[in-house]
Amino acid sequence: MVGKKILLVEGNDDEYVLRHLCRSRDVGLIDEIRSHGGVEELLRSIPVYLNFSGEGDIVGIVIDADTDLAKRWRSLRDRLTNLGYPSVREDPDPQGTVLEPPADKLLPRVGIWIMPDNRTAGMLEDFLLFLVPPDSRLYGHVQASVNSIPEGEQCFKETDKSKALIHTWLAWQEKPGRPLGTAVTARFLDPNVTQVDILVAWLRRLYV
Amino acid sequence: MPSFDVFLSHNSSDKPTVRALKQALAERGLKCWLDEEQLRPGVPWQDLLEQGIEDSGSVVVCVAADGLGPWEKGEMEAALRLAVKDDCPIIPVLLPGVPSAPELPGFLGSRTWADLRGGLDPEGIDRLIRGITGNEPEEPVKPGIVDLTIEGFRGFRELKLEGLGRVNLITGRNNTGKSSLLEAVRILASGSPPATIRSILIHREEDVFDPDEQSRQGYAEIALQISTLFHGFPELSGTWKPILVSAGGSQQPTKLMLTLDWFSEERTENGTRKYVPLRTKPFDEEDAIPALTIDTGDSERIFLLENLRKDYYGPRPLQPEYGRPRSTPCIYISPYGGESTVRLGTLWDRIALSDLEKRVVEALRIIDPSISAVSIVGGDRPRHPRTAIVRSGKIQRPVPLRSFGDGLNRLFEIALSLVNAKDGLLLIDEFENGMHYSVQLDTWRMIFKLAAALGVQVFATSHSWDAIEAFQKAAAETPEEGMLVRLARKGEDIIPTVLREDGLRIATRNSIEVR
Repeated sequence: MVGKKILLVEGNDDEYVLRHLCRSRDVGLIDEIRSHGGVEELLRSIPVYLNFSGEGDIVGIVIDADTDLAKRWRSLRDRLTNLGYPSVREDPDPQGTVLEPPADKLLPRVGIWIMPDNRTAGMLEDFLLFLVPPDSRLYGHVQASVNSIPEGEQCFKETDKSKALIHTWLAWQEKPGRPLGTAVTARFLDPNVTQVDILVAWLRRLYV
Repeated sequence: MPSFDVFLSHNSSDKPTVRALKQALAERGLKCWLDEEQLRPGVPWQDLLEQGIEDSGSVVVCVAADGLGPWEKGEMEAALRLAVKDDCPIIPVLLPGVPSAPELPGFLGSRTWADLRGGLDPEGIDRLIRGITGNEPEEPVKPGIVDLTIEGFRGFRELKLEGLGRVNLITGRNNTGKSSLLEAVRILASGSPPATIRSILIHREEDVFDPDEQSRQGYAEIALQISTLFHGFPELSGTWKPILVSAGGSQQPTKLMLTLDWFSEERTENGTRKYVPLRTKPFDEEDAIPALTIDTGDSERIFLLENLRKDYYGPRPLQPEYGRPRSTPCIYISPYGGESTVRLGTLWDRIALSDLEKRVVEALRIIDPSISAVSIVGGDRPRHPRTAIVRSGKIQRPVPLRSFGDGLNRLFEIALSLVNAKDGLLLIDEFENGMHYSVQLDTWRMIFKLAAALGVQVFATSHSWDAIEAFQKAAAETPEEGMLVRLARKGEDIIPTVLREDGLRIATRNSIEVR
């Protein structure tokens, strides 16, 4: 029976980026992407989505590792184990996690991708930095600029540095200041890099 | 008999607050003696005060920020004398502005006071009135069915629900057992299980009972009809696993077991009939009489299936003595709605002119605030069945409730049934029928509020997303326990998934479809 294929994400940025990535890479598998106004609300909602899914539904989750990947994975793993998913790995699968439900329960197939790459701490913006051409001299200038902010003038936290970098990069493109998702479609960020290949492969594994 | 309920004694400085207090008490039907109204010029005030106190059923001493003035000492002495003599309650009331540890003179300080320092709020006034009238408010009855188990009934091999709340919504796709769950609860709560079973079979159009058919060849037929109640549609020659429904909760746990057994009829010496259980399967025995054995834990009775044929209005109606004495009211609202004005009339008669009638009007006003009264009239002539009529501010004369449309009629049925289910159960099959989505939220709010006030436990079914969404919103708004149970088929089984308060809130916030 054909069910609903949904992707659960933290916030609007995640939603738009994933939508544009899927479009750029011709991935037409997802019925709906839903954002939740933050990581806490997403974590709270996961058991409800999973418990109340219908037959044939598939649920994907994209969530930031933030500063402590192991801790983030543990909180997901605990929730999934409590719901009844058997043998959830100790660490996230570097290729993206896909879990089949136990046969005796009404749970859906579920997939998890921990931004940026299931292996390191970070967030959506760190993943997007992979889409910046590595040998770009402009990007070299972006890094130098951000790194040479005068003492005491830096307003953002170190943990948000990737956000500063990516938005600075986008500020200096042909159409300056495009939002993250549109930037992907406009090719200011290259959707054909290896890291996106892995993400797309995960989506295909999950939803087909 | 005192002509006043309350003598309001106060320090002149806080007159406005005292006036407001008098107003609040008057709104609750209490008559107050207040000096500015009762004192007449030319008459010595002290005598009038003493008279006022003697004429009152209780004395409320208002303590203001600047304490009790000399004015009140005289009253106090009179009040003290009265209190000692007539056992009249004296209640100190702390008005807004009074310091946290007020100094009250000896005899006042030893009494419980009413604290209205936060203002004249309804709860505070309630407490004061309790002190005046001596009436404790009733604690509403807690939900009776907290845990429910159904085995061997219809599509349920085994269904276990735990932690049910005051208002429970059962959802799920078609044919997932929502109505069956209500049926099981009805049979369990019924004072007469056979009558309920008959009613269920008729509604499901499983009744092909021909009241004229008296021949014994019908036995196998009836047994087959009742087989639809048993899980797995057992064959006559097969084993019939018993139906078991049990519930535990705030009251005594109850259980009911139904088995189909075969008997043969024998005549005893004095000519009465006796039924003897048959040992073997009676597939081809013409003398085998099928009967339901109804075991409620404290009694076991046998009900001959042929009695199911008897029409309730016929010469020999089903006897309620077959069941337990009715302990909890259980009112069922069918999906079809509006099919029985006779039934609604009976429900109306039970509550007409009581406080419960006011609740029904309040409920109607949720949809149409112009309604001021409702009643059910008629039934005195053959072609004048009982109908509901309504007074609306917009129209000069009473008009039929029918003319107000489906939504209001359904709401009337629900509200009327709810008040009749006081301290018991209300079952609503297909909640959304006859109601536009715009009134569903208000209807749920009304159900939550009224069920809590009247100690009613509600079970409703729905498969409409609007109704479920409205339920979630209403449940999130009240402290009363609301629970959603989704039934889904997995192979041979029906599996329940439960959402309680927190989960309901998450689902509502994120518009998660939970059907």
